[in-house]
Order: sequence, then C-alpha cells, then structure tokens
Amino acid sequence: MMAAEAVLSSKVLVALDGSPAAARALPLARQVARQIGALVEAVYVTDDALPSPTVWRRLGEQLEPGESLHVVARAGEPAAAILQLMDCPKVALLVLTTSGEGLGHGRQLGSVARAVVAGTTRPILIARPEALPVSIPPLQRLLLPLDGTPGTASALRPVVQLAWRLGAALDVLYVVGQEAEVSEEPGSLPAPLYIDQPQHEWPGWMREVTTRLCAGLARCPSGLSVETFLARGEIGAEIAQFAAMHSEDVVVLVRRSRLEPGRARALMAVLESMPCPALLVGGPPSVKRPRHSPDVLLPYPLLEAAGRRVRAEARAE
Amino acid sequence: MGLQVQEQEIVASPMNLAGQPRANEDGASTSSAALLAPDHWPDILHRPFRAIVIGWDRTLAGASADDVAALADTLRTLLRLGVWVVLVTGQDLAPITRLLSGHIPPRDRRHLLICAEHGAVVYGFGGRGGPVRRWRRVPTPSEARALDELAVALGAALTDRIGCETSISSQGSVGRRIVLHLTLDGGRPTSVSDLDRLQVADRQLQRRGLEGGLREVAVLAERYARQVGIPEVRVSVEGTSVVVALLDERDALGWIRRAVLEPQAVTPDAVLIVGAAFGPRAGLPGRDERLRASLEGAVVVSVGAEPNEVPAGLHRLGGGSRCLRALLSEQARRQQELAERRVDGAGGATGWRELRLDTLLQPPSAPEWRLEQPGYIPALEHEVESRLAVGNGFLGVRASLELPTLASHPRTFVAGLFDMLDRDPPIPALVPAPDWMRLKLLTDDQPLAFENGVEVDGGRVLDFRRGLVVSEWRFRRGADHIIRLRTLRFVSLAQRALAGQIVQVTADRLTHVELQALVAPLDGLELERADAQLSLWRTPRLRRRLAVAMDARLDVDGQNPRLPRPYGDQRAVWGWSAAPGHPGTMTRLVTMARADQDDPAPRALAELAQARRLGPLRSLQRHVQAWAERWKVSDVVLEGDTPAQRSLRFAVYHLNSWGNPEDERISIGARGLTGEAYLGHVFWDTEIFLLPFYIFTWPAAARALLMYRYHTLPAAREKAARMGYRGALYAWESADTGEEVTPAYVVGPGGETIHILCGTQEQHISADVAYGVWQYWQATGDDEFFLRAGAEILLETARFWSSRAVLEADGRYHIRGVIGPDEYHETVDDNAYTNGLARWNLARGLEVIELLERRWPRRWAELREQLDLRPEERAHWAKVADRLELRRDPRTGVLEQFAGYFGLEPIDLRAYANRTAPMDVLLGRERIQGSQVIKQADVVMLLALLWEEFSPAAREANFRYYEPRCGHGSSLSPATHALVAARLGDLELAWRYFHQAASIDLDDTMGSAGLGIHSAALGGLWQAVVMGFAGMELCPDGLRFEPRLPPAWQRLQFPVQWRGRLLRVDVQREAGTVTVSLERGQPMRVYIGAVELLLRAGTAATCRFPAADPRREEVSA
Repeated sequence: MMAAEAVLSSKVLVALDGSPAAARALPLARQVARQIGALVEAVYVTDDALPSPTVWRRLGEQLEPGESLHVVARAGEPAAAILQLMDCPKVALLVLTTSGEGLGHGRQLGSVARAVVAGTTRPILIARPEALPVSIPPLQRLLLPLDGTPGTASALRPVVQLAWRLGAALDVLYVVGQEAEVSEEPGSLPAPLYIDQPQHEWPGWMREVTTRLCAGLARCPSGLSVETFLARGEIGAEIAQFAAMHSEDVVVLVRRSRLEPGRARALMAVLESMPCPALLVGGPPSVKRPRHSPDVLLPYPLLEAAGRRVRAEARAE
Repeated sequence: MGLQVQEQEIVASPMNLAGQPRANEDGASTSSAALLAPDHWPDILHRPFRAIVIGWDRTLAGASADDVAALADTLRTLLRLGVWVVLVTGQDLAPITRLLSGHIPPRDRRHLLICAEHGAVVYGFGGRGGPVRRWRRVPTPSEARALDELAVALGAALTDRIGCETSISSQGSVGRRIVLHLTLDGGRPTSVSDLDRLQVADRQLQRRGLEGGLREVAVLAERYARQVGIPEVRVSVEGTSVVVALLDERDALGWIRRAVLEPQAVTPDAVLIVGAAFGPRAGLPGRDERLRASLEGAVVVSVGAEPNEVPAGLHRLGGGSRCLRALLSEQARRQQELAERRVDGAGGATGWRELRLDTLLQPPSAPEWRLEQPGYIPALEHEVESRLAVGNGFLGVRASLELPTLASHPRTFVAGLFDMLDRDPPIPALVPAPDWMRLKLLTDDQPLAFENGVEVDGGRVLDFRRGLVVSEWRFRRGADHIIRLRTLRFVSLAQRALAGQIVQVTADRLTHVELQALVAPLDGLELERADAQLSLWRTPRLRRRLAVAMDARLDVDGQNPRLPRPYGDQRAVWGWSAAPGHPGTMTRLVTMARADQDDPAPRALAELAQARRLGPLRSLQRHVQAWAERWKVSDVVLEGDTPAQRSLRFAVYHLNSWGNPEDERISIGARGLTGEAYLGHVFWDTEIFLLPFYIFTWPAAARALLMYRYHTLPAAREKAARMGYRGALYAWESADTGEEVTPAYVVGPGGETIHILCGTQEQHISADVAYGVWQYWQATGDDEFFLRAGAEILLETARFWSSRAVLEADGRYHIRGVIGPDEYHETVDDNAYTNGLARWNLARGLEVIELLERRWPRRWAELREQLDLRPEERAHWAKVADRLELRRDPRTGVLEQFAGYFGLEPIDLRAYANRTAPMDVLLGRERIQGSQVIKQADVVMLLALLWEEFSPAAREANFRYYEPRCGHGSSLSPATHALVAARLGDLELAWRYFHQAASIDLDDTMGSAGLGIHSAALGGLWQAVVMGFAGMELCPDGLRFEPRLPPAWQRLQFPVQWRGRLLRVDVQREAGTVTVSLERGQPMRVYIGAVELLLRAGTAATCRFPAADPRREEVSA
C-alpha cells in the first residue's frame, strides 16, 4: 500500500500565478518534494494572458543553481485548471499560498485558493505567504488536531503516510473547551471525562489515542513517532498557539465543508493566525467542481539563465 | 488430454502372489529397514487418513503370500475403524476377492471398494459381504462404433508409418487394443523387464520412422479419436500394445470421489494414495499417475523403485509391498488412537457431536441477559473487548477476536502475575499472559481475516447467564462462497485455572481449510520452553513464572485431520476439506498456573489432566452451573427500565467474574482483569465500592479480599513507620506485596510533569480498609476471620490515626496535609471524610478491644502482647476520637470539606454543563485548587458510609450543599450521588446519576471503557440500587429496607445474605409493597422502615412502602 502510494504520488504540484506572494510556495514545495523523493511540478495559470517572458525570468530566478522546474502553463480559470491537474494520481499534494495578492481584513483565503480548497479532497499544503521563511527548513513535526472521532482519524490516513515519507513526527492535539460539540459517532475517543487517577488515566488515554486512532484507524506505520497532547480553550486559537509554542512545521486540518458561509470556522481561525503551513485533507463526500475552460496550446519556451532551467510544457488533455 | 501409457506384462497378479516371491522391477525386495520405520517418514504420513487408495497390482508385485496375508489383516483393521479402502487393479474382481475372503469377514467389507478392469467397473460389498457392482460405464452403440473406427484407423496409420502388422482386439466393452507385431531385441522372444520392453519398443518405433516413439503413438491416437468423435479418449501403451478406451482408472476414481467420499465428507486431503509407478518411463508418465488425477490434494506415496525422477508432490519411500504394509500398519495404529481419543476426549460416552453445539453456540434470546456487539467496528474494538470480557477472579480474558486485527488488543490477565515496569522508579504491573485463544485460519490457502477486504458480518454476544462469549462471523469470499466461523469462549468459574474455547468452521461449498490453534506470545513475558502441550513463561524482572498447558482437538465427522506442527511452538494444526453441512469443530482446553518461586508446569498439567478427564462438555457444564449458582444469589431483577436492567446485569456479571474465594493473596484492581490500565493496582475502590457486593452476595469472596489486606498488613505497618507514624497505613496503590506502588509523577497531556501526592497524602484508605473489615464482620458474623485477621487490622489502623492526629493549641486534634476523596485539593487540613472515618476507626478500635476483652480474652491477651497495646494508648485513642476536628457550619450543619474550603472561589458548574473534559483540565490545576469545585463525593461519601451518624437535616443540608459543587471528575462519583439522592428521596436526581454511572462503560461515544471496565463504578451501581433505591442498611441485629423506586421502575428484586441466611427482597411499585423472604438460615430480624419483622426460614413478610405505616401487613409461611 505504502509502496504503491510512494510510486503513484511522485509529484508535488505548486500553484503559481506570477505574483511574488504565490512564488513563496515554491521553496516549500521544493522542500516537501525533497523529503518525500518527488518532483516539483509548477502549474501556472492566469485568467487571460499567457505567461510573459518576464514571468519566466522571474520563475527562473527563484530556482536554485542547477535546478530544473517543470511548469505546466495554462490559460483559463485558475482553480479549475489546478483542480484538474490534481486529479492525476501521481500528485502527492498541492502547495499554494492563501493568496497571490494581499488579503483584505478578515479574509483568510484568496478566491483561487478558496475555490481549490473547496473543490477537492486531495491534500493541499497551504501557507500564508508572510508566514513562510525564504528558506524552508526540513519539515520535522506535523501537528494533528483530533476530535477523537473515527471519521476524522480515518481521514488522516494520507497524512500519516505523508508524515512517514517526510520522516516527520506527529503531535496529536486535542482541544477541549467549556462548550464543545459532542460527537455521537460510535467509537469516538474524546478527551476523558473521568480522570480517576491521573497517574494512570493520562498515560492510558494517550496510549489509547495512539493505538486506537493513530495505529488502528489512521494506520500510522509503526516507525512513526506519535505524541499526544491536550489543550484547553478556543479551538482555532489553541491550535495556532500550540503550533507556535511547539515549533510545528505543519498543521494538519480536516475539511468538513466546502467553506460555505458560516462553516469551517475552526479552519478559518487557524488559517488566519497559523504560524506555519496547513495541510488540508479530507472533505465532504461530493465536491462541486468549477468548470475548466478549454485548454490553450502554448508555445514551448525554454529559458536558461545562470544554470537554472525552466522547462514549460503546454498540455491539452 | 495427457498421454497415458500402461505397461502390461509385469503386473503381478494376485494369482501369482501365492507363488514364490520374486524380485520385481520396482525393487520391492530391496527395501531398506529405514524406509520401513515410520520415524523416518514425513510427518504428514502420520496423520490418520479417512480413505486409502492402493494401486494393487504394482505395489503387491513380488510380495510373498505371508506379506499379502498380513496386509489383508491390516486392511481388515482399517476397515473396521471406518477407513475407506479402494483397491485398484487392471484385473477383474475374482483374484482379489479370493485373496481377501479369508482375511476380511463380510461384516468388515462395508468400506471396501475395488476398482477393476482398468477403471471399467467399481465394486462395493453388500450386507452379506458379497460384491456389488457400484459403477460401470457402458458405451453407447455410437461410442462402440467410434472406438472400432479409431482402432482401425490407428492400426492402419501405424502400419503405414512403421511398416509392421497390427491386430485389433477388445479391451472390455470400453476399450480396444491395437497390438503392434514388433519383434523386440532382434527378433528373439522377449525376456526383458517391463521397463526395458517399453524402452526397446520406444527405440524400435523410432528406428522405424516414428520419431516420437511411444509418445507419438499416443498423440496419433488422440488425434484420430477426435476425428471419430471421441472427445476424451484414454490412451495407454503397454509394451507393444496401444490401448484406446473411453475411460480408465481416473474416471472410476472420480466417481468414487463424487459418489462415495464426498457425501461422507471425505475430501481429497484426507485420502492417502499408494502406488509404485508414478515416475515417467520411456518419456511417458507413470501408470499410477492415474490414481491421483481425480483426487488432487490427496497425499501420495510411491513405494516403487522409481528409477527416474518422480513427479512433484509425492512422497517417495520405495520398499514395495513391505513398505505398503508398514504404511497401513501405521495408519491402523493412528486410527486406533484417534478412536480412543474420541471416546476419551468427549468425556466418556458423550462425543462432541452429541453436544448439541448449535445450542451451546447460540446466544441467549432474552435481551436483558446479553450484551451484543454486532459487526466489527475497528474504532469500537477496544471497548468491546473490555465490556465483553470473561473472567473468574484468577483469569480475565478480553473479548478480542480470535483472528486479531490491527485494532485488536488481545489480553488475558492472570491475577497476581506482576512484573516491574521499566521506569524510574520501577513499579509493578500486571503482565498479560500469552494469547491462548489465537487462531489462524486459511481457506483454500488464503488467510481468513477481518481486514483484508473480505466482507464480514456477524457479531459477538456476552451471555451474562452462562458467563461466556459466543460469536458468529460470516466471511464472504467471492460471490457465492461463505465461510462461517462460530466461537465460544469461557474461563471456568468451577475450575479457575481453566479456559475453554470452541470453534466451528463451516463452508457453504467444498473448501480446503487449515486451522491453527496457537498460544501466541505477547510483550511482557519471556518464553522458557514450549512444546505442543505446554509452554513455560517468565517475567523478565521479577522472574515470576507462568505455565500454559493446552489440549486442542478437531472433529470433522468423527475424524481429527491433524497436520504436523511445523513451527515448534505451542500450536495445533489441522487441515481438511470442509464439505457443506460438515463443520469442523475445534475444542481447546487451556490451563494456567502461576508461581513466584517454584515450577508451575506440574500444576498446569495437573489442571489440564483434570479438565481432560472431565472433557470439554462437562467442564463447560460445570462452569455454567457455577454461574447459575452465582446468579441465584446475586441477580438483581428490575422491571420497567430495560436499560437499567441491562446495566445492572452487566455490573453484577462483571462483579461476579472478579471474585475469587480461593486466593486471599490477591485483590481486585481498578479495572478488574479486563484491561491493563491501572496496572492491576488495588485502591480504596475495593473496600468502599466493591466489597459490599461481595459481603452481601458472596461472603467467601469478600473474606478473601480482606485477607489480602491482612497479608499485606506488614507493608502497611512499614509505610506508617517510614512516615513516622505507628500502626498501619495502607498503600494508596498496592500490587501483590502491599507496598506503596503509586507512581511519583506523570507527564500530563500538556507535556507538563504532574507530581502525584496520593501515595503519601491520601491516607483515608487505612480507615476504608477498617470500614470494610467491620462491615464484613457485622454482615457475616465470621468470628474466625475477626479473631484471626479483622481485629488486628482494626486495631492497627486505629493506632495509625491516633499517631497521625496532632493535638494543637486549640485543644483539638488535627490531621493536616492530606488528600481526601476529592483529589482536586491536595495537602489540605482536616479533610472531613478522612477525619470522619478516622474518628469512626478509633471508635471501632476501642470497641474491638472491649469485645476481645469480654468475649475472647485469650485472643485479646495475644494481640495485646503482639501489638504492645498498653492501657494508656487505649485512653489516647478515646481522647483523639473525642477531640478530632470535624468542622461544621453551626448555622447550616454543613461539614466543611477541609479547613478553608468555605472561603474558596465558588464556581457555578451549570455553566460547564456541556463540557467534554473534567473540570480540573478546563480550569487548570491552580485555579481548581483555589475553587470549591470538587472531584467526587467527599462529604457525600461520608454521608453514605456513616448514614446513621447524621441527622436527616444534616444529610439533606450536606448533600444539597456539595452536590452542585461536584464536577464528577471521577467515575466513582455518580453512583455515590445516586445512592445518597435515593436515600434522601430525590428519585429523579438519583435516577439520572444512576444512568450516568451506568453509561461510563456502556456508552459508545465516551471512549472510556477501552482500557478496562471501571470496577468501582459497577460496584457503586449495585450499591446505588440495593443500598440506595432499596434503602438497605446493616443493623446490629439484622437488615433494614426502606425502598424508594424511581417512577420508571415497576419492580425490584434481589437476594442478600446476612450471617449465613439468604433473603430475597421484592419491591413492587404498583402494589406499593415490599416482600422479604428468608430462604434459609436461622430466624432473623428485618426492618422495613419502622416495621420490625422476625422472619423464619421459608417465610416471607410483605409490607407497604414507603414505610410510613408501621402496621405489620402480612407474614406468611
């Protein structure tokens, strides 16, 4: 299973639109690809115009000496094009920034990012551009907020596979609060309501989280390091705070909606203040896709500068 | 179709068997002694087969008359034991029947079949022993014509190709023989062996232009056969003859398989085929290959010389007829053993087939007697395993799947089997025993599992009444292939070392099944040695030992198709072909023995021998009977509230499964024997929450629990001394020795280190133990226990409190720096519960002295000397008891839980009603310690224990004050609140708390049962009903009942025991009556409210309730 996925998911897709903000996703994609042994493929989509030589040059400047980048350039509706490319089973995940341009107050996602996030169940690694350092260190810790439901744990299977491939550790986090939604899902393992003797209950509960949810449902490989934590407070803020305090490299979030108004509040709260990229997985069962405009055949430019090489390819499916 | 070749002249016909022995070409006369010795055979040849097919002509070639006679006698033995014997010959019937008639009497020929005339006919034997033609293939006229045409065409072709004459004759009705008139060996008449003749003929044909030799002849025959309309012709080459036929031995044996063996559930792997010529000759397959073509999967042995390589998949022994005889003798011996074991193992004359397995494996139909878990849901698996656990106080077995998955946590716990955990400082923990119920199941060589994409439905049911778990699973392999797996599991309440398992495998179509029953190692034990019957294990650090003995049998229609054990561990392996309607039923008896010093293996084996003597059926029957006895004296029947009834049965079931009157060196841990949480450690839970159930329903088990405290008294004295006190301070957590084993710290879920102070500060446990001792003695009148152990515990614990309390300037004694049951507040002074029970303990200590002096002066003298109890100490106890601080608000009568409690921050818990975590987690440790929020019943617990010491107003005031301040952060809390609320008459609140307590282990969304069942919560549930809703109180001269049933409860019935008497209480809401009957024992006094009754054995008293009316309503004999 794992070997098959490793073979299939051999590509990290990074979404670019020519903006400096979006381009900050490239080092992150590069780092992920390096750790999981995949290739980076950039998807460049604009609404109307084909990429200009300036864009190519700017892309080239972001590459490391000797690095080669495969760019799929498309014209059309960006989200639709990105989503279509994500359908390829070789794509392990998509990396993008929350927006290419600055976001207004209270907005956590740009329009393209929002449409992409709402339109797929495939993994997306999304980051606020301002939270991304120029040089991305290896991703070593993934924060995994859990609500204890089997459904959430099962949705995390791709994440634990990814963590295993990244060589990263998992920090499982429960957030409890004064007013929390109680799941009626059978087999849920919420935070314990009775702590008869903390010296026994906490180790037991943490072991149960690890064995039942992580090993049993999320299918964590045995070599993966998993630690369980519990925090109290408002969920979004606690996740962000915990991630900052524990120097988490990625926060994993399970999508439960298509980001309709009023939904995904926790997700948005985390996105608003997250100090690190967020890996979005899962999602509602049926996802409505924006229509993809017909592909436009592009010229095949080759740009070489200072040993960097950007090879673009036009694709018409 | 393949090329078939047959040799002719060499056949040693039975007629010449009576003559002089001669060497045959297969080397029968050169058999070595080694090959005749079964020790040198592959293991598979030692398994008893259900059918044996013998290529008679060739294997018997060269056999002496004596050999044949001995062989016939062995065949008779096999036939008598029910083995099917098929003799295959190219001759007609007469020679064989002549030979066998003197050795096999008519009555033993029922399972004898003879396949004669090269497969043209099959004979069986009738009731009088005469041959009966069972099968024969008669060709149609067109087939006969086609055969003729084929023979003519083939003869002409051969004449044409090789230039020799041919002639054609009939080979029975179904074949034609084409004889090639070749002169072998330069025209001289042949005297060479059969093998040589084939080779010479082959060369002759090649020299004459038929390049493919004999093989080409066969190919030609097949080609012509197709041309004349015979789609599957049987071709054989016998020396210089070619035989073409409509059938041969393959067809006859195919019929035998379908018509005789399969209906008897004899599948190919239960068939042994013995021949002498399987290997190729002159490039052609050996003649005996035809024996196994229709019985693929059978075990095949060649006793011939086999000069060339033999085909794969057969065992080449050589040795000719002598080896055949040895093989048959070994089979006779195995069959004899099997027959004896079947009689033995089933417990005398009763076999498993008579067990009515369907009934045994059937879960109870009454929903209140069962806890059902349909389907396999990985997320629920741990909780299901805990809830459906079986136990007998010595062994506890989680309800893990016999075919475990990633989600499984299979555990069997042996009470008292501790080892030190590798942590700093090391602490003892219960170590899981090896997984004795593990199975591996392969169907058609594919492992059967829950998680490899196989569709599974079914479920598990805990049968409360019989104390066992049954399961039924249907694995769907493909569209129309279902494997049904049914299991039953128990640990015997009648023989505590014994665990039993029944597994039944059924297929809806012919399926090859391999079943392995193994004892699988788990982490925590090192294996010292293992064989099929016994394994010996050792804990790595404490070097405790565990012996596991196993006896497993499989029955498939009376056969035990055991396979060799290739793994060298404790495992039994069977393989068989499961025919529809013919289940394979495995029974496994496992016994365990634990030893700290000596070798437990002899005990485990002795226990196994005892179980085997009884047999699985009687062992199971005794277990079920023992449970029936337990239910008779402990069942609580509730009408009107099915969920509550089920919760109560669940509670009483588990409580009964943890008691063990036979071992007073162990006690019951916080999770019983259902999970490894709490490491098997013993807390105050035992005496305060569990003990009342045992005192009033199982006094012997209660006594054993208290004797554990007596045996651990030295450790309690040592702990008190270490802390600078006198007397006995029991460990907050103890394992088998009674030493304090509370972990000093734990890393909390926020990554913080939490220091655990209970091990030094939670000292009320000493008074709790004393309370349990006193209750037991009061309820049972067990003076022997009191004098031997109880009095000493009461005195030593009283002495501890007298040294623990300090007289201060206010003239009062204070106990400072403790933790009460409310563990949110640490290092508090004058905790009400601690001081209240300490005072009670001191008073009981004084009472014990007085009683001993008065009634048992000799024992008092011994104890006084042994404990060095001086008169001034007695006076000191009285003084401490009199002046021990118990703070009370004079205005309200509310006890202050500890000094300063009233001044703490009040927090309205209603604002946290929807919380999903305990209050200390939500508020944080610092804030919770500065607040009035309490973890569990503390003052309320004191009310419950010392009810008579509080006025009705004080009871009400204290409960109403503390109940809203309780966060119920402990599973012990809701049941205690239910009990007190019921006694106070707040039935709606009591009912809510009752269901809250019941849901702790039964709710599917709390996740709290995965690590084991909350034993104290279940004990509390029983108390809430019997001592709360039924209002039972222990009086000095009897029992009092003051029932108050919640609106939903129509009727409540339960038994209790008091000083050797058995009473039954029946509360009926509609009628407003309570009936108490005394089933056995001396007359006794019973109070129903204010009504005093004197009951005699066999009488019942009925009163109205609530007992405002003191009239005596009825006393009937």
